[in-house]
Order: sequence, then C-alpha cells, then structure tokens
Amino acid sequence: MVMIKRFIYFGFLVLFLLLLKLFFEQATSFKLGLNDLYEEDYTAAIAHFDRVLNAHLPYSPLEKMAIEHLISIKEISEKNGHLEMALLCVETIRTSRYLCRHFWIPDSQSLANVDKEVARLRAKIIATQSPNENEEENFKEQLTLVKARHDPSLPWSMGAGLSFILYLVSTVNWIRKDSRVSLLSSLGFLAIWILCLIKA
Amino acid sequence: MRDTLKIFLLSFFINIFLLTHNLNSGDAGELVTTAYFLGVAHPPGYPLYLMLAKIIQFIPFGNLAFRTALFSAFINSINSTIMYCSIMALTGSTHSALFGFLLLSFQYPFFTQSLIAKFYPLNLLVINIMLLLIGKFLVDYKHFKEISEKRILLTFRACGLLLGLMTALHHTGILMAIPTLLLLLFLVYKGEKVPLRTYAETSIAVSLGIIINVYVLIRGSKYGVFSPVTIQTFTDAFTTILRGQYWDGSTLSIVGKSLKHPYDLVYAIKNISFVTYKVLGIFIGLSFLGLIYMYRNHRMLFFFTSVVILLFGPFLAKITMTQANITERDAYVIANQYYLPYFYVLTLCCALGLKSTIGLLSKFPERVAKCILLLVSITPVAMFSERILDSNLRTNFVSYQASKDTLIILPIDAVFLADNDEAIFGTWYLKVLGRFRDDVCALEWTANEHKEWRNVGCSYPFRRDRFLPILNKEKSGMGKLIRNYTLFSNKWLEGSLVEGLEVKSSLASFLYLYTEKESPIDLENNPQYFDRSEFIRRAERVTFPDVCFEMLSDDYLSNLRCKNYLVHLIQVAQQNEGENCYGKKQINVVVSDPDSKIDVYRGVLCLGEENKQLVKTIVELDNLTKKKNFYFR
Repeated sequence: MVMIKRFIYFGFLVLFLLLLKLFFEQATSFKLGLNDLYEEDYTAAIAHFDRVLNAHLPYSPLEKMAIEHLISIKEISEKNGHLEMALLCVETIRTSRYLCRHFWIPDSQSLANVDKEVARLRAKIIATQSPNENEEENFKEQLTLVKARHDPSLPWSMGAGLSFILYLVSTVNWIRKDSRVSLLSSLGFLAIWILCLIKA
Repeated sequence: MRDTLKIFLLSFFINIFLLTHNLNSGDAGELVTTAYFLGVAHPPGYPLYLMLAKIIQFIPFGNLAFRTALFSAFINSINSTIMYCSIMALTGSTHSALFGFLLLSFQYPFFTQSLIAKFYPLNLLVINIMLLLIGKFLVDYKHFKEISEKRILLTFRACGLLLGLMTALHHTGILMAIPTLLLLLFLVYKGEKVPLRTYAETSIAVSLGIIINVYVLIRGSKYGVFSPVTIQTFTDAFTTILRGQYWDGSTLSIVGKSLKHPYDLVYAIKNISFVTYKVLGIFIGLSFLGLIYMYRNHRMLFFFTSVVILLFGPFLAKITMTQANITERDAYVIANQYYLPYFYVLTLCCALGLKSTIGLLSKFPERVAKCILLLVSITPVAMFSERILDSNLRTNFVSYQASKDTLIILPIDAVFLADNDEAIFGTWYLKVLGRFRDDVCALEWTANEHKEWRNVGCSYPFRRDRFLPILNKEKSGMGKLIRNYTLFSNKWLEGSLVEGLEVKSSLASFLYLYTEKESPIDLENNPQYFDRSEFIRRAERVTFPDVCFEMLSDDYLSNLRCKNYLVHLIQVAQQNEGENCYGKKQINVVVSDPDSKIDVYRGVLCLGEENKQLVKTIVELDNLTKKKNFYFR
C-alpha cells in the first residue's frame, strides 16, 4: 500500500513537472511573440505563436490568445496583399492542432472553418500567379485535398496498443512463473494484436 | 526501493528539463510519423519501437514529436537507474553507484539520445536487461556454486525473448546472442544439467519475440498506410526485416563483411579509441581498474564483461567504422548512437574502478576520506555544464522551422524532391502528420530511382512516370495537378537534368519550373521556364533563420540546415541588388559542405544599401555555422 502511494505521489510529481515545462515554454514563446508583434516582425511572431500552440496544454488560455493573434496577422497580411504570409498563419493554426492530436484533435470544432480558409487562400494564390486559372474550381480542388482523412482508426489503434502491452506482460509472466495459462493468454493477445493491426 | 525511485526521478527531471520541445533532426520526423500511422519505418522497420511510441503518443499534452522524445527520456532514466542498482549490488558502495549513475547520465552520447525521438535508448534497455540477467546469474553462480534448473530455464527463456525482440529493433543488439551462447557453453563445461526443455522453451521465447515482426508485413502491405518501404509480399517484408534494401548494408552482408578484411581492425581500434577518449576522457583509466577489480572479485563476470566490451566496441567498429579518418557525419550517425551499450559497460567498469581505489583512502582520517570520496563521486556533474551548452535540445527548433520554411515557400501544388533524409523526414512530419501544405508532393530522390522505396509524401497517388522523364532529360507533359517542380539538393545530383540547372544547396533551392498543362516542354531550349526570382521574392518574407541564432546545441544536422539558411539569405541578397554590382563594392561568397569540402554555393554579393542589414546577418550566420563544432570533431 505504501509503495502504491509512493508511486502515485511520484507520478503526480512527474506530471506536474511536465506540465510546468510546457507552460513555461508557452509563456516564454507567447511573450516573445507579443514583442515581435509590437515590432511588426510578423514572421518571427508567427514562429513564436506556433511554439505556444505546439506546447499544447488542454484549456490553456495562451493557446486561444495565440490563435487570435495569428488570425489578426493573417487579416493584416491579406489586406496588404501578402497572401503567402496569410496562408502561413492559417496553415500554422491548422497544423499545430493536428500535431497535438491524441484521442481527439484539440479545437476540432473550429478546424472546419480553418480548412476552408486554407483552401480559399491557396486558390487565391494560384489565381494571382496564373490569371487563366479558375479560382472556384481550384478552391474546390484544394478543399477536397484539405478535407481528406488518412488517420488510422482510433479504437483499433488503441486496441493494438493495449493488446501489444498485454502480450508482452503475459509473455514475461510465462517466463517468470512458467505458467501455461500465461503462455496461452500471450498467444491470445498476440492474435488480438494482429487483428487490431489488420483493422486499424 | 526508495533510493531507486529517487535516482530514477532525478534522471527523469534532468532529461525533461533539456528535452526537445518539438521535432529534432535525423530520423525523428519519419519515426514520429510512422508511429502515429502505425506504419513501417526504414528497414528493419522497428516494429517494437513504433508500437511503444504509438502508445506514448496518446498522452494529451505537448505535440507528437515531444511525446515521442519523452519516451526516450523515460527509457534512458530506467537505463541509468539500472546502472545505479547494478553497481550497488556489485559493490555495496553508494559513492561508486552515484558516480556510475552520474557518469552515464552526463556523457554525450547517452545524454543526447535521452532528449530526442529515437530508438537507441530502447535498444540499450533491452541489451541492459540481458546484461543484468546474465550478470546476476553469474554472480549467484559464484556464491551458491550450483544453480537450480528452474533458474537456468528462467534465464535462458528471458534471454531468448529479448533476443527475439532485438530483431524488431536496431540489429546491433543481436550481438548479445554470443554472450548468451557462451553462458550456455560455460554451464555445459561446468557439468551443470541443462535440461532439454531449456532448448525447446528458449526457442519458443525467441519465436515470441521474433513474431512481432509480423507487424512489418501486415502494416506495410496495407493500402494507404504511411510506409516509405514498398512491402507487397512476404518476401518484401522479409527483405525489409533483414535490411535488404541497403544492399551492402543489409544485415546478412554485414555479418559476411565482419569476417573479411582483418586489417580493417586496426582502423576500427584507432577509431573506437578516439571515440572512447572523447566520451570518457580522464575516466578511461578507472575502467581498466574496474576490470581488474572484477577479475579479482568476480572472474566469470570479468570474462563476460570483456566479451561484451569487445563485441560492442572494436568488433562493432570493425563493421561500422573502419575509415582512415572519421567524418563528422560518421561520428554523428555511428559514434553517437551505435556504441551506447559499449559506453554503458565501460561506465560500469569505471564505477567499479572507483570502488577499487576506495581502499587507498584508508590512510586519511575518516571525515577527510568521506569528503574526498563524495567529491570524486560527484565529479561527473561538471560534465552537466558542458551538456547544457552542447546538448540543449530545448533551444533547438532548427529542424522543425527549416522544414516548415521549406514547405511554405513552395508554390501551390508543387512537387518537392529532396535528395537526403534530413530534408525529407521533417517535411513528412509537417506535411503528412501535421497536414501543413498538403497540396505539396514531397518526395525523396531514392524513392524515384528505386522501386523498393515508396513515394509517400503525396496526398494523391503519384505515378513515377510523371516525374522521372523530366529529370532524365526526356520531354514530357505534366500531370493535371502538378504545376511546379521544386528540387532541393545538398549535393550535385549527377546524371540528371538538374546538373545543368544551377541547383544549389539552400533552404529549398530550386528549380522553379513553370509548366503549361499537357504540353510537352523542351527544357533544354526553353530557359524561360526556370525562374527563381519570384520564388526568392516570396521566400524572403516568410522564412525565420533566427532559429539558428537561438540554438545552443551542437547538433551536426541542425548546423547543416543553418548552412542552407545561409545560402538562402545570400540568394535573397543577390535578388535585392542583382548580380551585376555596377561599381558597388562586392564580395565573393563560397559555402562548402563540411564533410566533402565540395563548394555547394559560389556567387558574388553586392554590398548596396538594400543589403546592408542582410549582409550583417549573413556574416553572423556564417561565423556561427563555422564555430559550431560537433562534439566528436
């Protein structure tokens, strides 16, 4: 019982330190981003706000503010005709959310709008470079690309992870205790793991 | 137990403190991406690592690259804790154990591998557990003189499983089969009864480890799964597991090569000695004392340890590092990663060496002796200050930012072709996993040349025949979606059209090829199709080379990418003032590849008003990239 308590205590300590590290990274980068914004160095500001978003902490207010700032840079850039920078802003928001996905994608409810914005800006850039191109057709083409999903199935991936761990644990158990039940359960988990890999 | 937990936490906290925040250089981009998609990484596929990394990727904070690197930090903390416990068990001396733990934790290769997404820490853990099992077996054998059949069965079954698991990781670990066989021979020599059941059950255990490789066949052959290797049949999967795609570098041919050219051993010993000196420095002497200590107290353990040192040191060097002079790239890829088990065992010997010198302190008063001992045992802490300056991955965003900048400056629907892993892996992480610029098709040169590699960086099916003819000087029409080709190269790509088209090493440097849909283009006679000016104009605004100035680490590949930023800035400067300086001051600029010494860029830079600030940045960045010396240089 004492051991379990100790493990839980140390577990929380590790978790706390990890969250602290991420929060510190968010706060530092956010401050740098604000300074860059003040000096109108938008490229640096985007890079720093991107770091805030990539040091993802659920429900962090700094992430929301970073997204707001990135949207404002996008609007300014688009107004000034800097379409590449506007695209960089929305692509940064979108990518940071995808790179921080776990069981779900953070801020997934607002991603649909970001997707549309990405497709719109890409189509607009093509149109400025090649005036003969059909902007609407390009928008549809880009939207199809942007909306395509290739992720492995979440439940089957989780199943694969869990069954793999159980396979290793029961195999080690067989080695340690020489129990046939463990060997059979090991083979059982192996079968489940293979099934999950096929389905995922 | 309490001490063990404390040691583990101390190690883990240090690793967390300097851990990379984002994507690191090298294979990380590919490994993180393949782990997420449950794909197959470069041969041998690394299924064990990818499965475990996938589980870690479910943590709901940080980004996917950070979480995968956290796995390395966690595993290496276990490794250093095992080191502490092993020394405690062998010597009973807290000072020696602390010394061994600190020396391991702060030595360059072990420390850097703890902070990045890579499979070597896991590789070391598997080897480490085998060392522990066999070592403990030998120590117990010495104490009890005979050992139960049950214990023999348990040890060999466990070693069998671990050897099987090694086939699903980096193959250097399979070398542990030799000490395991020697243990068996030793028992037979000593007349111990090794029941037949042991052989049968060890074979079952090996099979239970090897079976994990079935992952390569299942996931590699599944349509739509991210896998840079072409796997369609059982033979393909088998070839991948044995690294057949590397021809001379395949596992089987390496085994064959290891027995040829015995004179190469001289170079191998020279190189491994240099690397050992670099890593352990003055502590090397202690490792010899440690071996003597072992010989006196645990003779069998001494022979076993010596075999392991010879296998993972000179023998592995004979296979991997027999060049007359090792380049920085060799040192980065080989010395920094492959020899982790070798350094691990040497560190253990150093700690035992310290124990053997404790007797010398008996002449001093007890308090003085204790103080001296404490001071000596914490001397490796001095190495930590060095690590903050050369391995501070917390400050290194180069790989991530350079990949991002490379992608953002590409025209919409471009095809991006890279000729090296470092350039493509980062873009895969961003493009395939992060869906950044998913309109771009990011391909690796090798995948276009050899069918055993798959084109994986496209969001739409990409046919080889659309791309190859252009690079092979043939006239061809373009596909519907592809508007532009952008080529990236660190080297000259010989035997192709690129050779004649001023492909220079830069952030994404470039052949910007305008095309008209479905109309054949005679590239040789139509130079107007190659236009870099607009490309550079746009690139100027959106790139962020400041990442190079922020970086405290000496990471070799990051430094190379900073050189690419350098060429990029030079090209922007040239664009600003033009290449004809018309009476303005001018300087000649040359950027060379540090390893091959080939000039990757040559040009003239005009020092006009437009370039004033830019030239200052160029000079600063040039100085920085020249100053950054990789640890093993």
